[in-house]
Amino acid sequence: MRIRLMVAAGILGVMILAFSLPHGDPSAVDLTAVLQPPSQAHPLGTDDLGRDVWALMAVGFWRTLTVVVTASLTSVLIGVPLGLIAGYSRGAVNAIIMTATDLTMIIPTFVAALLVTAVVGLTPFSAGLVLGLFGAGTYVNQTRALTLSIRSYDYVRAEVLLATPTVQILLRHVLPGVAGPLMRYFGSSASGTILAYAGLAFIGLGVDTTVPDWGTMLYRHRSQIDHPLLLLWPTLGIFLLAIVFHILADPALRKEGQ
Amino acid sequence: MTVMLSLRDVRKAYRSASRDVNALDGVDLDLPSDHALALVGESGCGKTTLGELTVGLQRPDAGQIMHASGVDLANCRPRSLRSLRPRLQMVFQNPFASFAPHLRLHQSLAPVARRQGIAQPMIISALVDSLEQVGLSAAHLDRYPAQLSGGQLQRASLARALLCDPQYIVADEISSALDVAAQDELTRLLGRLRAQRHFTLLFITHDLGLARQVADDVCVMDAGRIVERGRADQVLDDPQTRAAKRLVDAIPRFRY
Repeated sequence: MRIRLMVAAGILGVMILAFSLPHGDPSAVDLTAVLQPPSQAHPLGTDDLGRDVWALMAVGFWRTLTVVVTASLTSVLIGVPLGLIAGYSRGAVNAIIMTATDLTMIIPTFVAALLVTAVVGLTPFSAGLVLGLFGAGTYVNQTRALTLSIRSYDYVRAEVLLATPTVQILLRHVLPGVAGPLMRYFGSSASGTILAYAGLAFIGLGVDTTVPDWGTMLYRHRSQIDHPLLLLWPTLGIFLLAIVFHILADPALRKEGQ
Repeated sequence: MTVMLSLRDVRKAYRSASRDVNALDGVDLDLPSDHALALVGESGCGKTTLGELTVGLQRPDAGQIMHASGVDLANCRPRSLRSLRPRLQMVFQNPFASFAPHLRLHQSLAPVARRQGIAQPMIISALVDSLEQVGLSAAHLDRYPAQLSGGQLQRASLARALLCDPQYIVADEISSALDVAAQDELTRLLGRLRAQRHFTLLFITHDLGLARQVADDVCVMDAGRIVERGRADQVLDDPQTRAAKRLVDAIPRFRY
């Protein structure tokens, strides 16, 4: 189990390090050197415009990471506090929060992201914000369910009798119990975000080829059947990054089960 | 003899899809100040529900729970209830669920002392004092709940309640998770603390023997009602109702 975790952390570390190394200009077009196999000058070869695939991969990596961080932060910062409040207060406040949550949940996240990014443009930040906003509903639901069960524990009821302010009960006594189980969901939602962003770019919202995303690369090169490496690299990137997040968030679950 | 809490026709039912359970079916009870009352009865007779209602952890469906200050715990606004806290305290049955598992003992206790107006530099010594009162020591302050025994945790729960200068403590089967020796120590401790601090005690148990050790009076509950009340010795030696007789018969005795 420990080994799985270390391998995942290792892969993420290597990716961060490797993609931090100086690389060529991803928008430098060289029509005299298109579709080249990997070489010393171009470690992953070049694409149909003669651009360095390594540089494209590196830029795509940082953009994907930005999406994941933005989306996760948005979801957590909105979803967890609302879930805590809804689960602890019940009554009218709960009804309002849950109705708003249900409304965002019945709109497919991907479709919402598609609409919004079509209007404001696909940047890692805008995509992350929308994916995070519409992903927050699940955090509300999960946090609320956990809060409902934790609030019935004797140590929380004792705090009520001790006249501890509600905010303090939520932060000091309920939140730590919520955080562990949420971590596991955090991992799968981060992986989901990576796939969703790749999907958005693939669908063509990232048609601006000067800002490369892994999904855009898949879209551009989908017909390059004679050069499968061009498809392999972004696929590998998406796959590795998604599985790394999934595994990294997993130990929280396992510890709970012990 | 002033009455601290007075319950009139208190009713409480737990409803579920399959059936309703009448936990309390019209309870009248006066709790005098500085008095120890034992509430005995078989499991499921409504003891814990009654205890929780008297500290405002739950509200009854009907009836009155009048506090000496004039606040009716059954019908008052949340703000009035808060004004009575934290002087109405409860020690719970399961010691291992009574403290947040992720906090060291001093992290759980310090905010309580702080809200009691104890100045920051004095807090540690106040916590040590309160632990020593219940037979624990400063060494326990740095422990997590999982590093303490059931008996130690119940003592710590008492210490936490005492930090609030309580007027009233509900002790809900506080020794049922402990072995006989620890049970005996804890009940003796409770007696000593009452002599020093003069709080009213509602001692919930199904063990009439323990009830006699701790309490002045005993109330016997059966199916959500109080069916018998009297001096502890009197109820033990001469039970009047079927429910009381069953409990008396259940006390282990030496056979010759």
